[in-house]
Amino acid sequence: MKARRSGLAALVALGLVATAGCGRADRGAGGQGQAAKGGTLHVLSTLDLEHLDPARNYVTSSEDVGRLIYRTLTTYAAAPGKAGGRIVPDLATDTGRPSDGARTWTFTLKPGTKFEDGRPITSDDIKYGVERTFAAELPEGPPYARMWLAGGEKYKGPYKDRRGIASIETPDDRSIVFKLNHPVADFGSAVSLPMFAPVPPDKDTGVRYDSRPCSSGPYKIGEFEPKKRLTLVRNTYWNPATDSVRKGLPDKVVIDLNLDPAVVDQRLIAGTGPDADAVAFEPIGPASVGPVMANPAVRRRLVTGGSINTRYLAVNTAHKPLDDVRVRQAIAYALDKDALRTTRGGPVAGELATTLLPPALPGATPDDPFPSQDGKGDPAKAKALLAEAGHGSGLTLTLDTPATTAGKAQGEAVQASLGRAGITVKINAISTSAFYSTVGNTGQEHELVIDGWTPDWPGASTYLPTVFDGRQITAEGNNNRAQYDAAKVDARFDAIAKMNDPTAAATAYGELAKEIMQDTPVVPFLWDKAAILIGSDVAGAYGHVAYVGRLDLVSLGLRK
Amino acid sequence: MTTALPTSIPSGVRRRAGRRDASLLRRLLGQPSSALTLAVVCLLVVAAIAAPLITWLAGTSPTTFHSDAVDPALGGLPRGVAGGISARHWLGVEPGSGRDVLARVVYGARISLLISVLATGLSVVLGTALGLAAGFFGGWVDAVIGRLMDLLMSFPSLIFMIALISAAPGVDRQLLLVVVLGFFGWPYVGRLVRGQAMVLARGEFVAAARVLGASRRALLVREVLPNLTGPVLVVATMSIPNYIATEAGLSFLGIGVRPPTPSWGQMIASAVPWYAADPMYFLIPGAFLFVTVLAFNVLGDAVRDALDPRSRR
Repeated sequence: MKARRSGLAALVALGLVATAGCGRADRGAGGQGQAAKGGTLHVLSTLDLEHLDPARNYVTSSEDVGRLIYRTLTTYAAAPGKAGGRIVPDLATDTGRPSDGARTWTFTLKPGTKFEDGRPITSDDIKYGVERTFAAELPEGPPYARMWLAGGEKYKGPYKDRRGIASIETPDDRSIVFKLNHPVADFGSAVSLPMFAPVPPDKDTGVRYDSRPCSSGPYKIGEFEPKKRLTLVRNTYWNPATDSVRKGLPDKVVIDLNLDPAVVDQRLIAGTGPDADAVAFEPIGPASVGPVMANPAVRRRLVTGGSINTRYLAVNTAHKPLDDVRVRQAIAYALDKDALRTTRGGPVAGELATTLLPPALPGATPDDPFPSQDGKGDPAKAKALLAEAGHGSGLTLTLDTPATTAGKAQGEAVQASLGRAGITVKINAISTSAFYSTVGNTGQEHELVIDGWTPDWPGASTYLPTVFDGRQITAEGNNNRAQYDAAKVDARFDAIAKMNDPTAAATAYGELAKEIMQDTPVVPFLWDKAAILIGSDVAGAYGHVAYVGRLDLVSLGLRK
Repeated sequence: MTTALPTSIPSGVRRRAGRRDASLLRRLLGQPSSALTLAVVCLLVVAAIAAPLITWLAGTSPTTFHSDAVDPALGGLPRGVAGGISARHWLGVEPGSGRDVLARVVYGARISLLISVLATGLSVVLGTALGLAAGFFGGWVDAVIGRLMDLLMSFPSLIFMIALISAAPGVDRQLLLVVVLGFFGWPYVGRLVRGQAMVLARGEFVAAARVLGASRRALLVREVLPNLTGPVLVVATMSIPNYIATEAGLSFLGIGVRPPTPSWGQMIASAVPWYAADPMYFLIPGAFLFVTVLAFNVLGDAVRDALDPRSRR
């Protein structure tokens, strides 16, 4: 879910490589422009904030903002590139102590952490926050508490059952113990999700908590006009000594929502007045790449961040003749990945993908099962495979795309490249609001869909099983776009899930990913990067892998 | 004998109308401004019809991607000056895909002209038939058709078109556009025809034909209808640019023809974010749309002036 939203929301980009260095501005000789405390940072967003309620916050863009407001048991390191994928302690003193074969996880809270009203944060507040994710009133959050906690299938949430769930124990105010129904080797990473943020029960306003969550981080909500503007002001009770991740430099962070992408690009290219203190939230559009690259002064203000997002063309194996692996491989050979990337802005939009796992993920190994010159596709090989499969006279397939300019441009690139191999592609443009419900409905999904996935933390465990486990195919809300169902692969997923050693599991996932590619249920074409413009007075900017290469908001500050 | 006389009178009227038609072209060519617009319109029609020939001559096609003509490092900006204008791509290429703009413009002209001419045909046929019936028969026929026209004209038709087209996902878009545009356009023809038909129905030559025993059908088809060709021709010429603009507008809003079929409205829509980086991509389809709409409008005026010299400015 995380990834799918990251995919639609405009032209998100990410990548893997993740050096923030590309464009950091070093303004002034030797000045390096160290960020100072104070000032008002502006964030110009073309998106709306989906949810601020930690129980429902499960979209990369909102998670980035949420990290300014609340703290979780663990969190991502505040660092550019692959280092940002490391999980570090946040409210907890360490990344969790497993016992009972990773079925029981114990965390101890740091002393001296406080909510915005000055009350100390206790383990009961964390427990309550997790319990809220069981409430039917608060949908859209991650499913992990329901899936993993012992007795989770019966618990109905704190509004219906005040006694709470027995499998989360709080022996004292600073200790919390999670009892799971099966071993989860990376539970210490899972508790970095916003759903593991503390919520004081007396501040819980149910559905309305979404617009006024109680702060445990450096900022609290000053003013929130949904769909328009979020103003964050300092939480004076936040203690930087307990927080190794967040810098909390600006006095105020103002996030303007739902702006026009072209307007944001133009404002930041000009970068005058208050826009010198502003950053973009989303990558620049393809049309702005030329003007930015042509102007060295602006180009220096472009920050490129990597991601762990993989974009792919899903091939619906439930539709004939795509049940034939040769036809799917023909599509993989025919696809012009470079043309697809150009519609998204060219090399600044990311690296051409050749494997399922992006290089920044543990377990990823370089491979290119369907090679072609510069990623432009190999129509001759594709034609040969099609002829072998008995479709030498051609084939007609339908591609589902969002009815946006970017969606249509990508659709036309797929159409043109598969057309070279004799595959006629019809484009079915679906309105943005209905796109995911349509392609997630196995009865309405057509033969081809452009999609992508970002794991919930750097590892394949919230990516491969979600996208390729045949038992996870559901009639609605389906994420297995290829409707790929192979008993052999499903059995391997079960075996890997039982492994206690994260390194061995990562290697096993890497091998499995290679095998899945031989079956070609999807054709990966891009590992996103995000090229983001910042104002000349902004310091500390780098793209973060966890947020699809968006800037890590907690590190930003203004120069004095 | 009874039948011979009535036919002789209407045929006289028709002949007069016929002579007027024959002299129309001469009058249009006599005026430099209308001769110019007629030439522009003819050129566009020829370009649209000969689109495959033109692209064959230029060695391009409207759907082929030319990744070598754009620079991926600059976000897909066309290489070279003025949007990639070169010997290979006479009007440049589309940013991102490198598709040939000339090929897309001439194929887009086909779509624009085809849809607007067919929609005009549909609205003229419907409008003339119903307007004639309303004006000639009067009474309850006039009341019913008149209210229907009022209803359609008071409809927020653009919004309705958007809703209707979005609600019919599987239907052929070109056909749907013709039907929708024609359906909402006929009352404008109908009103005019009704008014003219009312006047003509009271004319002496109609009364004479009626006295001589002509059937209602003969009166309608042989007496009244031939005298309506002039005004109908003027409305038709004036409505073509209207439909071209509406079709472009609907395509701009994303509910026109489906990709990869080129259309001017879609080209302009996709050029919007590129206005600063590649203004030529915006200007070329925009200029074609502007010139076409202007030419048809001026031509419509010229036709009216030629048919009715009293209104000449």
